[in-house]
Amino acid sequence: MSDQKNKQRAFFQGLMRSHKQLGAALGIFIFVLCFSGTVSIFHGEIAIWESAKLSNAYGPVAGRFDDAPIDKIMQRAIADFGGEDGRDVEVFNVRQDTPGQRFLVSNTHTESDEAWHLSYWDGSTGELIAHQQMGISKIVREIHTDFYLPSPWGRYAIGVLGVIFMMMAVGGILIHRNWRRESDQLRFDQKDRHKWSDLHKLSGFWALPFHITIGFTGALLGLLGVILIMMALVAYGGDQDAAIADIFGKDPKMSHEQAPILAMQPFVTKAREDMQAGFNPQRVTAVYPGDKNMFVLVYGSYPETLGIDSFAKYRADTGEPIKFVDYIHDNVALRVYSASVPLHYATFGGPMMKFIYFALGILSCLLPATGLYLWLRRRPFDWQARVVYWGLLAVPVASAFGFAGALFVKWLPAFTSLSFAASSIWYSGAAFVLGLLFVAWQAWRGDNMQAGFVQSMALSAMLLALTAVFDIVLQASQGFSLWAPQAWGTDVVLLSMAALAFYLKQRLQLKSDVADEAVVLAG
Amino acid sequence: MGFSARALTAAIVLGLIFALFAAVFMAQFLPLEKPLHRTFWAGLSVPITWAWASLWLFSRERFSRGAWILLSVACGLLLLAIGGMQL
Repeated sequence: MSDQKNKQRAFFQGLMRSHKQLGAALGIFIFVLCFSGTVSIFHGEIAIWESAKLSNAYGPVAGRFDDAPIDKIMQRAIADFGGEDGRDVEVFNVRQDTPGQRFLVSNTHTESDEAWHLSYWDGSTGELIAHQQMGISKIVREIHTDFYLPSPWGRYAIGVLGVIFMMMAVGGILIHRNWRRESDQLRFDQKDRHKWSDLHKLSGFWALPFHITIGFTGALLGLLGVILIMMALVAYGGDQDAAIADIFGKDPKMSHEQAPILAMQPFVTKAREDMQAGFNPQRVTAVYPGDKNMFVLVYGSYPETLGIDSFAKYRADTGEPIKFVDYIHDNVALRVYSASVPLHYATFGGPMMKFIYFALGILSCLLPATGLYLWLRRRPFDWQARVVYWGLLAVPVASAFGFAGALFVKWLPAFTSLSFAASSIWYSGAAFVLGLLFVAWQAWRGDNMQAGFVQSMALSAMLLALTAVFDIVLQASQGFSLWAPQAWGTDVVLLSMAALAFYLKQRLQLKSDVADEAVVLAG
Repeated sequence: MGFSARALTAAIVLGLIFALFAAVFMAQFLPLEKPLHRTFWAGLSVPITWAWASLWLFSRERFSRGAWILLSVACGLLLLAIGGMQL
């Protein structure tokens, strides 16, 4: 019996040790992932906020996707991006930004420069609102999806971190054996260590299902592609062609024979008939438009289900179906995979769900942040501590700089003849890098870790709040009648982030004041 | 006990090998008619098995270097053998 207890104790001690060591080794990567993911929940909204033209384009909501002028939009995009003969466009897709909103968003891929071109269209009339490249929204999203590493290695690294995040969340709960007592304990008035330790445990305990869901779906999104290929080779007895044909359908190759650009609209209607009852098309893609072997994919979801990526694929010339992939009605495993996309990106439940995810995402950020802060305050401010300090503060502070930079890029064209529609990412990126350098300078030159935290939080709070306030003031100069909900919603998010940074600064400063007082009293 | 980057790497790599090993068996032997369904079930199992196996391994108090190497090589060879049979 005693042996049994000793074994049990050793196991929990091992869990505790592994939780701490994993956190110290990989905490900054997990924090960066959590922070960038939390901001990226509003990726689409921030993209609209970044452009004064899009921010001022509120209008009547678009109707059903079936009635949207998608072919008019495709013709115009090909005319704008396809070169002289329109043959440079390899892939074109158009989707509803959010069902019930005005915008249709298109992405056009051109062969000559291997680039994607983003455009926003009026969902009712098909008129162009803006060709607009993303700035800070893209930077933060790229950090979250790829760490700015070459594809696909960044995505794999993030998939591995998803697995580790799951490990740490579950391990943390297993070692948290007094959860009945500690699950509602937040000791703000006692020792500084208790405050951050309680916050760490509470954010881990109360949002555990969220942490596991995000870790699991993140791991799936990052790694399932490569894992599925391996598993398919086994399940299909090594027949790679059969596996690809069964999973995606056999796509026609580009023929290089010119043909008229065929309409996509009939395929949207056809997909509604061919897929199971209730199929609701939301996105359509044309591959090789203007080529004899053009084919069309119609993506859509089913009502009252969690999943989005079911699709029907057709040859454009004959209308012959290539493949129907129904993730909802085929098998539970496919349905789980399909659910991972909306579950991870909060693309279900409307704007309210996004704000719930945002709040839960902040709890996810608090897990590595408080854990690393506890680790940092126990040791001298040596080079390892300085690296962790930089890792913890770099992306939040740089994002605040990036948003401030994006504000200039957004409003200067409205008052001057300058235009940043195709280059906003460089200017927002420069501001972002300035933020990274600022924290690096702090980490290099600073003597007091806590004072550095206070300074960074104060600066971030000020930058975010001023960005939102100036945006609202400048918007007032244009009038509020056409102010898009995505734009004012982003200002609300910026103000929430500023309030959180200010709150953290106040809590951290409280400790510094108490410590200073103690030094004075001791003196 | 100090932090060991080698133990962490070994736990993660070995956890992955275990997870892939289990998934290969699922892809091959799950009693489902369609290979597509076996593929997806096997794929979905990997992150969970991987997280569980790595956490369990990394929590061990004692795990000698020889055992890590032996187990890694054994699992790797088994995996290669099964993969090779399919090809």
